[in-house]
Formats: sequence, C-alpha cells, structure tokens
Amino acid sequence: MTTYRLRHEDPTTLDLIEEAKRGSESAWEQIYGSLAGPVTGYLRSRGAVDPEDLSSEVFLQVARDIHRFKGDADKFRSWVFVIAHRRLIDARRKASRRPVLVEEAVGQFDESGLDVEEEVMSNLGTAWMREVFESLTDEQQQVLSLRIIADLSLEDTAAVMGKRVGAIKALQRRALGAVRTQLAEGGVS
Amino acid sequence: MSRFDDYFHRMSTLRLSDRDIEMLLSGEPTSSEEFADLEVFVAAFSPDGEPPHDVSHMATALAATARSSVARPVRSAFRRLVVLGASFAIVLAFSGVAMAANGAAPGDLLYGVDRALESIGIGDGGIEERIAEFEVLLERDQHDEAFTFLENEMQKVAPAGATAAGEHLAAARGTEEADQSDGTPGSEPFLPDDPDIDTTPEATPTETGSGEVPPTPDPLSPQPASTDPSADDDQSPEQGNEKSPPGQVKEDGSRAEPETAGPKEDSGTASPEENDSPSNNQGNEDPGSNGNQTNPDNNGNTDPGTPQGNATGQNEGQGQEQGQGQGQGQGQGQGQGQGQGQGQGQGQD
Repeated sequence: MTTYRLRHEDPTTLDLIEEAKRGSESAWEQIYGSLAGPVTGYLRSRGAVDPEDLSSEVFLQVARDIHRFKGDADKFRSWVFVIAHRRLIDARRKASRRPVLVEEAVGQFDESGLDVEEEVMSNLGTAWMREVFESLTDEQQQVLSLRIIADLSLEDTAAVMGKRVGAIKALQRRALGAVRTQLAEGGVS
Repeated sequence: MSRFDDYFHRMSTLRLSDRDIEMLLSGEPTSSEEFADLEVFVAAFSPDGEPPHDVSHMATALAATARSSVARPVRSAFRRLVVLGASFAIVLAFSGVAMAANGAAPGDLLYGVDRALESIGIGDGGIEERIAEFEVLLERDQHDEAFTFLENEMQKVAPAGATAAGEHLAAARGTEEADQSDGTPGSEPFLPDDPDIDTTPEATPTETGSGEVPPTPDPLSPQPASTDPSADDDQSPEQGNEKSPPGQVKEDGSRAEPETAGPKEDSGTASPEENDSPSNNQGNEDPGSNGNQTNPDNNGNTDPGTPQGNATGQNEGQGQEQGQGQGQGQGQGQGQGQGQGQGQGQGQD
C-alpha cells in the first residue's frame, strides 16, 4: 500500500488531545489552527451556504464530544471530518426544509460582496476549476474534497464516507479521469 | 461525448497508477509532465490559502466547552442496564411480598404487611378476607385466636350490632372449650355445611339428631329442656341421629326432605304457637345453621314443625334404645326439642 504523506505536518498528538480534554486553551489553539482551514475548505467545496459558521459549529461539537473520543492521534483528524460531514448533511436538510426568501437571497449576495463574473475576472483559472469540480458526481466531489482539501489519507477517507478502501480508490480514479476530460474539452491544460 | 473524447478519457484514466494518484493528491510533483493539468487542478483546491480567523478567541471558547462537558457524566449502557434491572427486581420483590402477605392470617409474620397494604388499596381486604382468615385460624385449631379475631373485626365492622353477636360468640366459645375439655373431638359449630354432621351415621354425642343441626345449643335460648330430665332420658340427640338422621331416608324408604314434609307441620302437629313449649327447641336447636351465627333472630324464625322432627319421630323407638344416656350434658336442649318433634311425628303417622 502506498504510504500517504500529509500535505502539512499534523501537530496533533495523543498528549495534545489529552490536554484538550482537560480544557487547555493552548492545546485547542493548535488543534483549531491546524484543522480549521481544511474543515472550512471541505465545507465550502461541498456547497455549504456559510462554511465559516458551519466550521465553528463543527469545532464546538468536537469540544463537546472530545471526551468520547478513543483512539490514537491519527484517527483524530478523520474523527473531526466525520463530524464535519454529518453537520454538513444536517445543514443541507435544514436548508431544504427552509424556504429561501427573495430578500434573504439578495442579502446574502450583497454581504458576500462577490459576484461570479467578478470572481472569474479576478481568478479565471480558479473559477474554471470550480466549474470542472462541480461537474463531477456528488461522490466524486466528496472523495476529492476529503483527499485534497481535508488532506485525509485513503483509509480515513474510507472511514468518513463509510466505504471500503478499494471503493475509494476506484472512485478517486474515475473522478480524476473526469476532471482530465473536462479540462481537455475546455482547453485548459 | 464523442468517440475520441471517450477514448481519450479512458486512456488518460488508465495511465493513472495508484502511485501517481497518491502523489497528485498529496501535492507532490508527479514523475511525468502529462499530469500537469491535474496538478493545477489539485493546487487550486488546496487549503493553503485559508488560514483560520481569530484562533485564540475560538480556542478559548472551545476550551471552556470541553471543561463544561467534563462535569456532565456520561452514563454507560451497562450502567443503565444495571439500574433498569435493579428497578425491575425491586418491583418483582414488592409484588411477591404483597402476594405472600395477602394470604397471611392473624399471628403470621406478614399479617401486619397485609393489613397495611389493604389500607392503601393493595390486596383484597373486606369482610370476605376476614372470614377467610377466621377459617384459617380454625383450621389451625387456634380457636381462641379465631374468636377473638372475629369479635374484634365485628366491632370494627358493626360496633352497634356487635354486642349481641359478641355474646353469641362468647357462648359459642364456651361450648367449644367444653367440647375440648370433655375429650370429644373438636367439632366445628360454625360450619353448618360440615359433611361429617350430615352424612356420618355415628355422630358424636355433641352432634344433634339433625344433619342441619350443629352440636352446640343455641346460646341465646333459655334451654328449658335442660331442666326436664324426662326429655333427656327419652330423647337424646343421638337417638334420631344414629338411626334416621333428619333429611335422610325414612324407615319406609322415603326421604324426609323439608319440602315434602312441609304439609305435616301444616296439619297442626307443629304449630307456631308451640314455640313456647319444649318442642320449640326443635326450631331453636338449629344453631348449627342459625344459632351460632351472628344473627340470633334466626333461631326464632325456625319452624318448630320442620320435617326433622317428623323424621326422627318415626325412629323414636330405636333411637331411645341405642342412644339413651349419651350426650346428656351437652345436648339436653337439643334432645328435648327433638323428642317433642318425634312425638308429634308419631301422632301424625
């Protein structure tokens, strides 16, 4: 099996987790500082309406349930993303039940200060990449988000998605092939 | 998707080995430049440009949340199972004690529990259970306790009308003690449906001549026959009882049922006016069914001209010969009453 190396060194250790259980602020600074970016990026890539707020809810849930966590430091990262994945699903269900008012939608657009055209103009490459990403199936988007943005290993991704490692390998292979096809069709290479 | 695109897609996918894929996803440069497009794609989604905001403030909130969650105990599934099982066991034990206490009689260890549970509506309670407990005491030969218990319960149930009944019980208790002191087998005067009295031809001296007549005399009746020695000599209770118990087969084979013998008393042989005569004991000596019960008025209502007298009267001769001298002390009143009835029956026949 190919050894997966994290894109960034994960400072989370078993001692750090134990200190976080006791309520150490320095421990939580390290944990939040190393995981907040990937969690927020994963939530954003998965279409969360307000990924920053949802990320804060995820870490509050982590702080409440950290006493139930049993395992080594390697499993802590995937455990955090399991919580993020569940909170994302809950947020989608709430959004599907709640009708979006016209004023609210306009307000969100105004508060963000972003326009698709403006974003494309500022970063045409990134916008195109996002379109390519959104053309993938939901499972392909999820596996690439967990592998690239959440920086999870093959095994941890399988644990978060509830699938076997072989299924994750096949899924990410098809996803990258579809991305390549889209990029080739769009002339971006 | 055209055939060319499909072919290109499949070929590009096939050229991705597991190692290439892992290197791409980890952000490392691949071995070939043909994957440069995918490297750009992965780099565009890398979280490098998303540093978290206000880390220290968020860390303070998270630390406080973690500390507060420490104080909240998490009850394990095993512990909840133990608590549930213990609760179930307590309920079972209480139900078992309640059931055991419900069958307790006075003097038993659980009788206090039984009464306490009855006071709060658990268990049967009521006069039926008191009677059942009284019978249990009698079966245990605890006659004193049984009568005392019954008197107390009667005082509780009907304090005003319990005086006469209490005297009744006192007389019955005296009779009971006398029976035991004479060495005779303990009869049960308060059980009028005792099968021994009805069916056993060899009755004890305390038993009367009638199957319906209990062995003890009516404690409330003046017992006029007890002063009449002639009546005692002529008709002892055993006479009619041994040979022809009332309500049983007559000499002629017919059965002296009360209903069939009714017309005989209508003939005037046993008129109600004879209640003042010694033959009145025929009616009053029915304490087995009436006299020893709590309502003494039933004695006076007993028809003196019942077929019992008629039936026994037919057997007068034999009864006198075989039963003379027996049971005079205890069965005087009864014997006399039966003798009168017997004489009347003979006259009729």
